[in-house]
Amino acid sequence: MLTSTTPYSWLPSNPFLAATALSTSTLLSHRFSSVACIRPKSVGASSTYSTLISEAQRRDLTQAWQQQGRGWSNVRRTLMKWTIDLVERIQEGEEGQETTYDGRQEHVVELLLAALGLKRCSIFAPLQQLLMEASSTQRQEAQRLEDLWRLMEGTCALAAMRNAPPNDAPQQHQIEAPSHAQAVEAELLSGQRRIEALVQDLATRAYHTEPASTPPPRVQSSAPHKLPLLPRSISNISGIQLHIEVQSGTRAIVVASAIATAVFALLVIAID
Amino acid sequence: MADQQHQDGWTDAQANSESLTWAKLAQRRPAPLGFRLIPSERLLLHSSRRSSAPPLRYLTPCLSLEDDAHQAPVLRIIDPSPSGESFVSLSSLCLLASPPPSPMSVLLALDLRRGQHWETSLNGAEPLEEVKNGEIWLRLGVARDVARATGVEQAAEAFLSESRAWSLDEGHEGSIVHKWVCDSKAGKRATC
Repeated sequence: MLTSTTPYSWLPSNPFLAATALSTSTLLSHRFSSVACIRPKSVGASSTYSTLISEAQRRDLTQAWQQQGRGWSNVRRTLMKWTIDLVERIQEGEEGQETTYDGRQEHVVELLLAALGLKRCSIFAPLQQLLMEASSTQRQEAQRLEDLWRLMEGTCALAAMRNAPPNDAPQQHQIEAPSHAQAVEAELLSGQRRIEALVQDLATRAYHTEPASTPPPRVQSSAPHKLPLLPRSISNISGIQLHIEVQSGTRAIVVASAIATAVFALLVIAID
Repeated sequence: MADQQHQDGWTDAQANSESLTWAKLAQRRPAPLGFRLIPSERLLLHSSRRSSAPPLRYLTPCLSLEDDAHQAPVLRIIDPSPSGESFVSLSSLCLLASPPPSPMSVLLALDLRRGQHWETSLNGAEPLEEVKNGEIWLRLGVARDVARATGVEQAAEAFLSESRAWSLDEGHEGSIVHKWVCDSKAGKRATC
């Protein structure tokens, strides 16, 4: 019998839970406010992904999925080939080694955007750039691939729910019909939020893997570098904010104590 | 406030109680099984058709696990020709779980290795569409372990049972042979 092994414990065990724990709007505002105040450079990336998300919100993803059936087939095929290749490389003991960017990420993202009905647009190049930065090791490559699987499956699940036949409960209890429709709509909304959060995570995680040569942030905070790449946790967001607040508080105390010391010294001089 | 009486004599409380019961029963119900014959990658030789016509192919008999929530059924190849054992499609098996794990996370978490636990090619017996899309075929015993690890063991119990069922497309003989010995427990629960 097979048992779960630990060498790959960094993979998420329950990928959807973290993304659904907080509403997407809250997630976005928290993450971007935290990131933007530390590194102004990330503002460009955030606006890029805001554009992507708003585009995805405007369009009916499930309708795009139905119209682009061939596109989804391409996405799935590419992801599966990539999966087989990466799994075998990792199992051959190459974990942790540098991985070479070979255009596969670009291809998958292009297929995904096309399947979502977004196709090539102004957000494609920044997205490609972020993916390249985030795929320098096999571990990060696996994270990216995991994200793409979840993005595809989440969208497929949305479409399947939209197409699902009504509940086959006994016909004499018609009272179930509205509640079923409400449940489906709620699930659709939840699924759409998951997708938005996943897209957002692409930006956030790619941002956190920027080269070390980047100038230090204005507010010195070690919290972003401590963020585990997987699994994500909403508590990380609170961690960043709390850290900044504590730092601000500490700074205020230091300034206040300096002022008090100066006043005390002046008083001593005046008394003398 | 008193429960509103409906025309058929049921109150809201009765209806809600009934729907809850029905929902619970529906959750426990095993997913329905199906039988499919899917064109395989193997070409049927000695075809008398015109050369311009698409080539005839052998049919691969599969048990399918239909799930209302997903359009892609889980397939279990019951053609005995690959190696005398059944193979199960991994990607659609993953979709049964909620939330669905990716094939990559399953392969790495259980340390499943090609040749020992899974294959991508079954000597042409795999369905043609799955070849196009790319699929990972788990050995039956491994598929049961994956179902257990992803929490879909109960829904897929009959589908992944040890029942010795096989079917074979005899090609130019124009017939398909079935030899199914269904497990009694699975037979009661599934509509084979």
